[in-house]
Amino acid sequence: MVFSSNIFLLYFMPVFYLVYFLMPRKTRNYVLLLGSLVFYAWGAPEFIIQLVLSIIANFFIVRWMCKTEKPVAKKWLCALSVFISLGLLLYYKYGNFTMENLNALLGITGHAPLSWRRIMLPIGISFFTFQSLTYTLDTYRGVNKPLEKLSDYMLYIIMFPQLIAGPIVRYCDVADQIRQRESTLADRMQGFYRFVIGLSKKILIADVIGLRVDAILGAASQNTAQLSEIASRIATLDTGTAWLVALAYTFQIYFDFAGYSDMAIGLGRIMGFKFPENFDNPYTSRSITEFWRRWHKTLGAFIMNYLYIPLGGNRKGTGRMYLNLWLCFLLSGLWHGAAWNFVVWGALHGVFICADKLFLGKVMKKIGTVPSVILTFLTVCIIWMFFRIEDIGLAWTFVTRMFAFDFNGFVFPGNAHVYTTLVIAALFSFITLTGWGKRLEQKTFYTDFSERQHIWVWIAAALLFIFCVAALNATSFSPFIYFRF
Amino acid sequence: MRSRTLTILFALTAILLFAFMIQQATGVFSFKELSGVTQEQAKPELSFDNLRGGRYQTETENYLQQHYGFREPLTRLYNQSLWTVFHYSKVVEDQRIAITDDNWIFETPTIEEYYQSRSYHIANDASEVANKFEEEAQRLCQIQAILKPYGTHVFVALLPGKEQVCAEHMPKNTKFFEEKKITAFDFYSKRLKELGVNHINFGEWFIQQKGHTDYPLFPQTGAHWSILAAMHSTDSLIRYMEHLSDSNMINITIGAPFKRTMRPDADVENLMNLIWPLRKAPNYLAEANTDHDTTAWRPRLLTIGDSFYWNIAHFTPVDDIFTKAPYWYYFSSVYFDGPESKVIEKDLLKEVLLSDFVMLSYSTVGLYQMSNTFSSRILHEIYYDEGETGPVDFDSIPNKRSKKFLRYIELKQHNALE
Repeated sequence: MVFSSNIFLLYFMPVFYLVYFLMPRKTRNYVLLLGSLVFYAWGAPEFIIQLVLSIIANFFIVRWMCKTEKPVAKKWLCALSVFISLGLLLYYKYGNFTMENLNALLGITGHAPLSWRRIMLPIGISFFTFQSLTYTLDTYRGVNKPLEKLSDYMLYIIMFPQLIAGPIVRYCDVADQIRQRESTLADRMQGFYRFVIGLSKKILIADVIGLRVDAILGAASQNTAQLSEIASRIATLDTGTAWLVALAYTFQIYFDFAGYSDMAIGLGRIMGFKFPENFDNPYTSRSITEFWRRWHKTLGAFIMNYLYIPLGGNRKGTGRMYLNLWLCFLLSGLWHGAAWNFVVWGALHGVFICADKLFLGKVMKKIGTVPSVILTFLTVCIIWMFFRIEDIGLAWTFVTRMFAFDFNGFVFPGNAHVYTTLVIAALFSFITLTGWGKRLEQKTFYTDFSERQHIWVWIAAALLFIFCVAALNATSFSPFIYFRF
Repeated sequence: MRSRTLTILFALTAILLFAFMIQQATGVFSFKELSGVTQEQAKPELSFDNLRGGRYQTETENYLQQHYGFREPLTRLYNQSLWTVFHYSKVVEDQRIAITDDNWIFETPTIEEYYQSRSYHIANDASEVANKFEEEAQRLCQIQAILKPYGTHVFVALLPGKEQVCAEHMPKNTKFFEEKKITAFDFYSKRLKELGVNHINFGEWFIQQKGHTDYPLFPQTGAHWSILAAMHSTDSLIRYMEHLSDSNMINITIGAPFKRTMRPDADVENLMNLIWPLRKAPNYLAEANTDHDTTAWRPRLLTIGDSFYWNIAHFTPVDDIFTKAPYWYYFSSVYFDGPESKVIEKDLLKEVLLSDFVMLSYSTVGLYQMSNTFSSRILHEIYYDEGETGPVDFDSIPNKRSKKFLRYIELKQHNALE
């Protein structure tokens, strides 16, 4: 189930919260757990049993790990838990990728390809695997005590607000809230407002722009004929169109992902959870290093704590530090998707991070805020194309078209609605560069509203919610004049 | 005080969230239905297999999209917002419709047809278009000659497109204003005339009438001819059928036009599903009645045509004029002949021989798509028995007839064909 669907907005959400708040406080975690299981089962019914079994296994392994006195046994049990979590991720997410590449290699060496059945990717696996890892590792490190109740652990892993797309909540950040949390009326209302802001980002901005990007680059799944049509379109793409597509995608992915995070944070807050922020105006960054401090912050924190530091961080010399940094981003790319384009995308970010440390960071500081923000934004924008276009050759062709200075045949399928949406997206992406923009953000997200403000914000949120529901369904409604055409 | 405000807001939020579900379940408020048709999603069937395979979930989402509470007003609200703020309508984009600044609506394919690009785009080159219509005209010439002795008159009604009659209102887009050449419509009508094929060209009549009628020939925001134009054309069709059959048919009388406020003649605009109608010139309606001449002949008419025929079918007293008037829409679906069915299920030869008139009613945009299907099939059935194949000779009327044709003719001559 996704948040921006009718079944969630019009059925699951009202019914779930009604039951949740009607039940006694002590039973609310069970309601949340049950709701989360239904939420997940709706989207991935075939995977729910395996997910639950892996959660149960991990819970008892970690408990056993904490009970045992022997450090070696502790280490092995920790490794076993990590192996289960990562094993599922590797199998489901990278099984197809591995087999495809293996068969490509076998083909090159003249061997017959191996046959295998394609594996369906369970939604949210990348996120709940990381959450499971943080629990195991934080408990192993003694940062937190293990949870007493299996239901609480299960809740931590599959709590529906952040199950599908994060934020990646570290166990230590949420452990206390699972056991006990307060949900004031103000929390509930602020959570609702935040949810609506996220929903609007997704439906009114990201989806509107996304349709136009898809019109040029194709939607997610393509057959061979469509791919070849897209390839020939990209090969002759006008430079203006190429830039507009890249910019549009840059805003689309931000508003899509940040919108989803806002919805997750809002849904959590209604129940009294304080999930960590995931985005902090990433496109106002003055360098790629800063960009990663602002973009998908919870992933950055995870990689720092559970990959970069264990790899040695900067403790093993400068050369090793660069290698560690680059490796972290390479793997982060692979985490985003099992395809080479994601690896290239991650590796490119890694290269810029290293360059920042070597010299680029100083250059960016010297040239001033606006030029450095623009340069960073354009760099991110170009690199995003390796994220969007799965075929690396095609992605490269696209990037070359951005610099071909061929301005014949502008084909971006825009209209006043799309261009205005792009302008709004740009405005909200860069607004915090100004003082009043910062104040607006502070006021909207992080300040308690007065009574009068609550009324106005509620009216705005309610209207936005209604409009989002309308947009969600109206955009798919394209009727014919009965049998008359 | 503050907590009271928040309590009220929280309760209002709950009401807001539940409102859609309650409206869907109870339909407590009623709203004007949305215009146009989409593929209906049936209520999903809950079963373990459907649920496990994800089919139930997908179908439920699609079903909810079409049935959620307040769908009608919210869809109109969204469409109106985009139209008011951006002059954008999704349906305009999806259905290839062009709207001018002064709210004249055209279908883009008709504009392309006017500028001779559509038919020629569908075909590979100009000679292919010419050959296709030449062959069609030749076939109709043959069919006419074969069937006339047995009392079936086949004729073509060429209906003008909006772009022909209202060219000055077309979007001022240079793309469309290329050098105008002869269109498929012009070529076809010329050849029908030269070969002596029965036909009535409403294009010429419409252009003559333009500016001289007290009602618009085409509505400003509709794709098809106006209801009044269709009514007057029906009168002309009756005169033409009388001329072909040398008979006296029931006449229709059309009353004085009056402004039409309900259900305006605006099929494309209706599709936009806005809250407020577009600003446009008024549309007109009139009463169409028949004289009660009991001696007049009431023939049977089979119409094979595109969507222009609907205004005749819905707004003229067809049932009073004809004993039966089935309509084969795009030579595919059958209307006004019992339960809705498909042409493919019909005995084509029998249906044609049962009819006194077979009207092939083509508008400019439907012409290329419609031609060829009826004529080649009926000729084949006249010449060949089931399973037989062979060329259809256009140069002369071959003496060969299928057994089925001969049998039906015999039955018809004994008034036993039914």
